[in-house]
Amino acid sequence: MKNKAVSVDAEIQARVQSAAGLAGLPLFKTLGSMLCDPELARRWVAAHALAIAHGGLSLPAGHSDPVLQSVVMLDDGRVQLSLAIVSADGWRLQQANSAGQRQVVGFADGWTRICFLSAGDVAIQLFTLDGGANGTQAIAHPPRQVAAGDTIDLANMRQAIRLSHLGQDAVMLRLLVRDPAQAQAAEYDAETGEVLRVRQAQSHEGRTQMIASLLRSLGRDDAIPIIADQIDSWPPHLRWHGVREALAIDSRAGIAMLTAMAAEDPDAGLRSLAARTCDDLVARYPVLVQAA
Amino acid sequence: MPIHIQAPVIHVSELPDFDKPVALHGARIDSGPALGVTDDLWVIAVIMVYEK
Repeated sequence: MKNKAVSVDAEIQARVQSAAGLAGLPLFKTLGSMLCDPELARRWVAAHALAIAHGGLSLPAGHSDPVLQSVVMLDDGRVQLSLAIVSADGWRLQQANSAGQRQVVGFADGWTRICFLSAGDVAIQLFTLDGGANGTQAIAHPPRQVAAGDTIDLANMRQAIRLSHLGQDAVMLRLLVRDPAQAQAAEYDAETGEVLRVRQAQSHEGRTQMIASLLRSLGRDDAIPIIADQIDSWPPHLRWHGVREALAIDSRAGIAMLTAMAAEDPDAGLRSLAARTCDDLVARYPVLVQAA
Repeated sequence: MPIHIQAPVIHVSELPDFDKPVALHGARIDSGPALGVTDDLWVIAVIMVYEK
């Protein structure tokens, strides 16, 4: 059994390696046809049956919940292939518990292919983003039944699906190809279609943000030159976070960064925010701008 | 500022937020099963103490 597992894992790795020169949508299209293969999934499950039975395989890096349980077949950072089981009992319970609450649909980075291996009684609802006169809204399409063998491709930036009915457990293969170039993801109200909030699409931004806050809370003034050195490569919201943390670590160094931001930042909104904040701080702390 | 003058201590809470706030990567508000995409679990853990 172990040799079989090594063999099928090596086969999946080899398929991904054969597409090493590709990225983005071409990578997704190539891997989609190679990896979302029910026969490959069947051999992978057969080879890993013991480990699955003993809970010895990892859950996907990320959101896990009582409704959707899955195991990772491959995850190399840019590509994730997982086998997911959606529990009908869990879904019904969650639906009952969330009755009357806001339903949310999320749009993220990259591309997803979902291949239903078992779908006895499943309906899904597609949501697409549409930019109208009142801003971008999530448009709900009519729910539709899916069957075993159905494949759904999603450009996650503007397409997402939600379960609208689940009468029996469903099993699916999920291939996710990430898009490191996409900076932001968004969540919308599934009923009204209105945006609820914007969040970072890439995890490294959150790590940078939290590390800067952590260094400030530890009183590490050696973070200042690191922030100053890297801030130009950050997106506007992270640049603002960096200069705030710099001000809180060392107001003398921070006001210099804030002044430079007010004069030179490429984002007009950020220049304006920096200028307003600079005026406010100088009014409250005149010593910040007293001549040496 | 002359070097011998103590620099004032500024608290982060005194400073304004970014005009268009961007939530942390893993800060999902969707409670439904993630059919399409997944998030980094460790980020979600940190959010419990980081996001108000």
